[in-house]
Amino acid sequence: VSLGEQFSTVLDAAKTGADWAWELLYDECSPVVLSYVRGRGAAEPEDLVAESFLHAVRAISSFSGDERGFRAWMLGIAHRRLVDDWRYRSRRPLSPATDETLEAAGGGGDVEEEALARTEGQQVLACIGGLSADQQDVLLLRLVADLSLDEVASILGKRISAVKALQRRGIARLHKELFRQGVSR
Amino acid sequence: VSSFDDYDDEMARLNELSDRDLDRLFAGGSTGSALSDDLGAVLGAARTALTEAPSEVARERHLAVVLQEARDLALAEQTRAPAPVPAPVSPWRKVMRRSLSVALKLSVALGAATLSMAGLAYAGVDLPGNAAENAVENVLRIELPNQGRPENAGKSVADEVQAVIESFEDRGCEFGQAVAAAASANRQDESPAKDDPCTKDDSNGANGSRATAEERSAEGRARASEASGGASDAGADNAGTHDDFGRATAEEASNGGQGNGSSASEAGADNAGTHDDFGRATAEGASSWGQEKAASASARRKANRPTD
Repeated sequence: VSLGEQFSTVLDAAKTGADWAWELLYDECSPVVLSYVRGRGAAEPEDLVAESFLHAVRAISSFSGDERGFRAWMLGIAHRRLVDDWRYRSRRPLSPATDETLEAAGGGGDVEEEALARTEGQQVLACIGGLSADQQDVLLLRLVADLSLDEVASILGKRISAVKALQRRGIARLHKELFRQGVSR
Repeated sequence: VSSFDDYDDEMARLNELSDRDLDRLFAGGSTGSALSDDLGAVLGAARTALTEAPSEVARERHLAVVLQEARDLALAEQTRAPAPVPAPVSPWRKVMRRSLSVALKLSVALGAATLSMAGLAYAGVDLPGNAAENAVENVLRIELPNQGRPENAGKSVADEVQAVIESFEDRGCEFGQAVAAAASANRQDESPAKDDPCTKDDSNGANGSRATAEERSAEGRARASEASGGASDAGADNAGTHDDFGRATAEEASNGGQGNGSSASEAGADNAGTHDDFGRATAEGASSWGQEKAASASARRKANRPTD
């Protein structure tokens, strides 16, 4: 979903707190944000998406730019939330969920079918998880958000030359791992 | 089998692709080579595996939270009191305010400068000229201590000393006295004036001092001989003692006066004052010493003389 030329109108409405504007912005950006945080191995990716949008609501008055810039801005917020989440979890180990919690969270359905459908995706995620943290950041932001090298460097706080090197090493390693596991062919 | 597995160093093969080629691959395109086809397939698989929208349940939950936050912020923004607008200030008031500020700063600077000058003047610091002291006295209407008198206004001690030096051609005793008096004009602990040594029998210079010394020594010698004569009447021991002592003192005084007088005459006019003073002081000392001894011996002789 792309907002195109109506993005500026949607942005102005979102700054005034219009519900419809925020629904459009959420539908446009939430898949990208969720893909990024999930690919980075977040423990609760959907919670991080909600938290990222809450921060966006509070800081929307400071943003100015086009639709592509808004996507990069949202991913920057998600990246900082992700880092904060890692720090928080490193200080407070998680306690295992109770049986009642698991039953309440279970959506039902055919578990085997879901597992088979996700096999290839899980293998890709596993290969990406084998990369270094910086390589994961660069490849995920380039893949799922289609950001340029400049935008990735800005979000990660690195030089473009460093981002280029991380991108090449990440691609080579991912290619090797995926072909070794026979995912793509 | 992938052609990638034929090479150990995959980074070397990846260098065949430029940054623009990689951008095209990330955008879903291809450069037409086998390598780019391989990489395009890898990136496509990764993108497919990663891209996932939130579930409908999660979407509803997230939107409820986000929309509520947006409404709250919008409401808070509307109810927030507008910032107070500053009242317009007339140009005349601005000018007056600025002028007052400048005048205040100038007065503070002037006061600080005046106080510092007053402190320096009170401490007796000799600044070049007395302009600062005069300015302080004129402004504060007070008379500062340790400053020059009105007749010396505008002149420093150095100027006065320079004037004294230039006014004298002769570098004698009077010249030194005058320079010393001018230099010590600003002293706080000014002691009472002493007797002027230049006025004591120095009109004849070195010869005069020698003559004075000889006169003094002769007088002392006469008094000593008189004392020794009286002492012989009183007894052999006492008279001999006083006689010898008085004679030796007189001779010593005579020798000192003559020696000093002759050396002073050889030294020249510049040193005449110094030697003159020394010879005169020595002669005076000898004279007074001989007189005292003579008087003492005479009294003792009278006391020891047997009464008839």
